[in-house]
Amino acid sequence: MPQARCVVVGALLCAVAWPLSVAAEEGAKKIPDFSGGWDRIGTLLETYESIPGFAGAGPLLVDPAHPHVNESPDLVWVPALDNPILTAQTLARLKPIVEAELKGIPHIKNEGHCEPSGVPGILNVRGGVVEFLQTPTQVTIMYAKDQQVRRIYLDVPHSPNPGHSWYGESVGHYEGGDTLVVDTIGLNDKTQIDRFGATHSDRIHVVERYRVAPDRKTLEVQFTVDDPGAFTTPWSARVRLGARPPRFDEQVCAENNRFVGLVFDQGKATTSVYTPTASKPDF
Amino acid sequence: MARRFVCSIGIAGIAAAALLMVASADAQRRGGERPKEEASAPAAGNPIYTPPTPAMNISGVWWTQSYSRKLPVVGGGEPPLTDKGKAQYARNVAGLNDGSIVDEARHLCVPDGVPRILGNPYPFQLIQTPGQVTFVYELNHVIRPVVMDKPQLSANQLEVAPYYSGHSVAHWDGETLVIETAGFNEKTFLDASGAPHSDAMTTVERIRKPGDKTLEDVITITDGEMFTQPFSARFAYDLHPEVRLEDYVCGEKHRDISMVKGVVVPK
Repeated sequence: MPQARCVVVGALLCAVAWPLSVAAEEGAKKIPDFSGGWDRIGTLLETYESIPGFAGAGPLLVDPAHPHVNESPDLVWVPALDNPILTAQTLARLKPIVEAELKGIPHIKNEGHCEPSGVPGILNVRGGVVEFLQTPTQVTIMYAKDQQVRRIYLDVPHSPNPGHSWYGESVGHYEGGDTLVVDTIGLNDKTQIDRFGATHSDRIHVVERYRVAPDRKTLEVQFTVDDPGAFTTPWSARVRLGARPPRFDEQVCAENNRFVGLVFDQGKATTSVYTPTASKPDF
Repeated sequence: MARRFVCSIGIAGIAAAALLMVASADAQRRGGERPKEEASAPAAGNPIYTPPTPAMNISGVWWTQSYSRKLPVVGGGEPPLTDKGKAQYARNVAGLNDGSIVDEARHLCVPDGVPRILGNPYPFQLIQTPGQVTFVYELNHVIRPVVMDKPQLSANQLEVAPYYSGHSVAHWDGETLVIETAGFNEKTFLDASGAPHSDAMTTVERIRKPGDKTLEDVITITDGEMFTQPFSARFAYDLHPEVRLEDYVCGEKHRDISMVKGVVVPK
């Protein structure tokens, strides 16, 4: 009798589990829909957030002693420098920037130079719609802000020698029907890693997980930065985006890249900001 | 024309430029509130576009078959310039020669605009997604979204926000993609020689695949200010699935384009 019960229960479990497993498999195969427009949401739109409930190392955050207040004349971006992720070298590079900020001299982001923001810095770009173009083999992420573009090649390994570039080499795959996982290597060391101006090395490895909410009103990007050349340990953070009309403005940085007053750039306070130009045309 | 534009800035223009400068510096600093505008979140759908026929699959990395400094006018010859167009062209050619006009697309890396960018010697990618075809150019990392099966913006909207690449809508005519574009700014040349256009220019492109791995874009240009009648130019491309687009930052070393027919790399 017990054996018979077992068979019956087993058959019932099978009957229940079979459609569940099929559904799970179909969900896993489902391609999440990232279409439409997106833009940063949250309190501070140019910095990373800690991941709620995550006990591991986290990103540089605003120093509570020097809060950044949106729309306030007091717009300093000063990080708490006691974050254990900072190596002595990264901290030393960051200190002059912080000192300038405390004097009211803002530092320039890469996009202030009309340069690519790099990865993960591109996650902090604000002031324009972000769009995802999905094809079976590629996801293209477009940022209206200076028409920046990232290309993520799906379901392929990294190149043996990806070299070093502004956005690096990104490969990716979908997981669980709602997530795009992006693995990026081959970045150069010319970009700032965050709004505070922290630097990174060209050994940086970034893994991002883009997860769209079931109602498609929000998109969360959790990411991990592993860079033994700049940080003592891998650290993780998140940014959040909200749905926007997919109106992709033509924003051209090189057209009007001027600043008023002193800015902190290349280790000094200056009123002259470098913008890439070509003294000799390519063709 | 860029030079002319700058020279024509009056007191109001200077004031506006000053405001823009303040805004630019300000935007660097503040982490201000995002715009209040929110999208009504669309229902989840299939984000992948499936072309109805192989000929309507124009996605991929394409590379021009040849480059020319002058617009490749269908049938040969010169664009049919009006007297005003002839005078403007002569000024542009002279200015580019003596350096009084800067070719900003080559030296500052602003977008080349349409049609000049159609003949550029770097590869570009066409990406088809539901409701949109997007041109992603390697050169100057220009993005040109083309909205499918929607009406063009109103005349007022086009006038308020003129773009280098204009505003484009498209539909399929059989297996030919027809792109209609308006709302151009007048900061660009039609080609590297300095052929002019006004901000009243409109274009119609007919894009089709003559073969599995070739693409053709025949563009008809209408601009009554500069040309006596509409005229067409033709651009042809080869498919290059082995090519991945690269980053492009002004003044840096970029990929080798010396093998592209017609390209003269300055020494």
